Amino acid sequence: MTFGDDDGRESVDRIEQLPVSDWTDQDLLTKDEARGRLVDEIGRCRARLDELKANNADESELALLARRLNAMESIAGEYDEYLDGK
Amino acid sequence: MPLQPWMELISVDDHLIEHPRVWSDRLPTKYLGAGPKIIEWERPDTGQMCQVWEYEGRIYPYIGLNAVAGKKPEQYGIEPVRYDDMIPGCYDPKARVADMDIDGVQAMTCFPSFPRFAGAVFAEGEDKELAKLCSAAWNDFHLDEWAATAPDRFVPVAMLPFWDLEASVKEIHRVAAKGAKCVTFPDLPDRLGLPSVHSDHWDSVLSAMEETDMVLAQHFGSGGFPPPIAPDAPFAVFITLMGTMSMTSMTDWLFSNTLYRHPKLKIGLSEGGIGWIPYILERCDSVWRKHRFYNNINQDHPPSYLFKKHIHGCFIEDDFGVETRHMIGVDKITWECDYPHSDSFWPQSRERAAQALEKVPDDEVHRMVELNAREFYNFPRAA
Repeated sequence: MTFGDDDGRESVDRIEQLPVSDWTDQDLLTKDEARGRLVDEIGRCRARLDELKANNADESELALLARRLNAMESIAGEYDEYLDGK
Repeated sequence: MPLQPWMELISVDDHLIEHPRVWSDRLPTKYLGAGPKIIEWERPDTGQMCQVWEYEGRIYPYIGLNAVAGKKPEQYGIEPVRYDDMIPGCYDPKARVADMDIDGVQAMTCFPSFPRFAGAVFAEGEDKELAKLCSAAWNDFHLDEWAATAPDRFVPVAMLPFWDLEASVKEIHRVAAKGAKCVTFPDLPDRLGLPSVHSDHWDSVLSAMEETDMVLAQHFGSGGFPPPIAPDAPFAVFITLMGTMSMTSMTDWLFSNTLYRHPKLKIGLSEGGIGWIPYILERCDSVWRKHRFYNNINQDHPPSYLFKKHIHGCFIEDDFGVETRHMIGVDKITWECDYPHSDSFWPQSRERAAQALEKVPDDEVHRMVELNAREFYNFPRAA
């Protein structure tokens, strides 16, 4: 658990703020946000799958991960269709 | 690896978005005009066409998030304004299960959205008969349509026509018979103009909850009362302080005499976090020791006694709470996912839970992520 650097200043990356009011509510996963999260997770999942294959991992573990990867790719594909067609 | 593959994640705080036909499919014909329905509505500030709920002629300018008390319509920003903008897992239970699968979550407890977390929108209804029917229709939708889609994946939730005690008691028994496991109830009923939990007003409802052994789930904000913040404070202050509403509702219970009349009542504090619990218990007990001589409070037990007997909390991201779990009680902690709100870590919930619980022994992890919820909510693993 950390609350910032020793000198009391939080060390953070600068971000680009959205041009909307403070009270803009973003409390729901949008398709855009969901697709972004899925793309990141698909990348991590593929890397993990490659790593397991290289290490001759158990077939059932590989199958489980491959199923999850397929499910994520399928859902991301649906969001692509919607967002790219907008 | 304390979060083992065979441990099933049970989340006690999630949300669903009601599809457009929830009420029109269930209300009697004479109420279809006044009952909740989705209409096309032009936002006065932007001219954008949105889908919004209309109920008794009133416009509720949100479909995808819960109304935040004190928020003006022009402050509704970039959240989805049409069903097409939402991820289908918000309103389609089959899509929800698919999202749960990739998230590594076995079961969820889905609170209402348009009616607010405990159905307070219907308490505003002018026609109280219609309001009762709307409340019952949400329960039938949740139990017969949503949770029934995958009975081992959804912990069934029900709401009450809480402005009518007799009807509430009947509804508790009706939904229990249909398989409900918990009832959502306003966190601060006095803020809705109703008697507080310090009164004996709710006794018949609480007795019915004991008889049916369901959890009384108090989601923060369900009483419609926002944390008191400066009018010019940024939204961040509001979000940060929402958990303190659970602190307030729990302190009410712990100093009331009500729980001594309802020794079997189970209370779930939904979405309020857990890290604050050791502090408030210490403070309550200290106040009890110093001030019980002149307060109309129980003289036999300190408030922490009632916490251990009746209340459980939940966490999604609360390192401090996990570190102080023994002060809270490992058997008083449950886990939450908060899908489809952006607080959720979807599709990484399982991985994030594993990270948060990395230094916790296996048996304690299993208690917090699965066993406690299964026991509180009478939700055993499918045979």
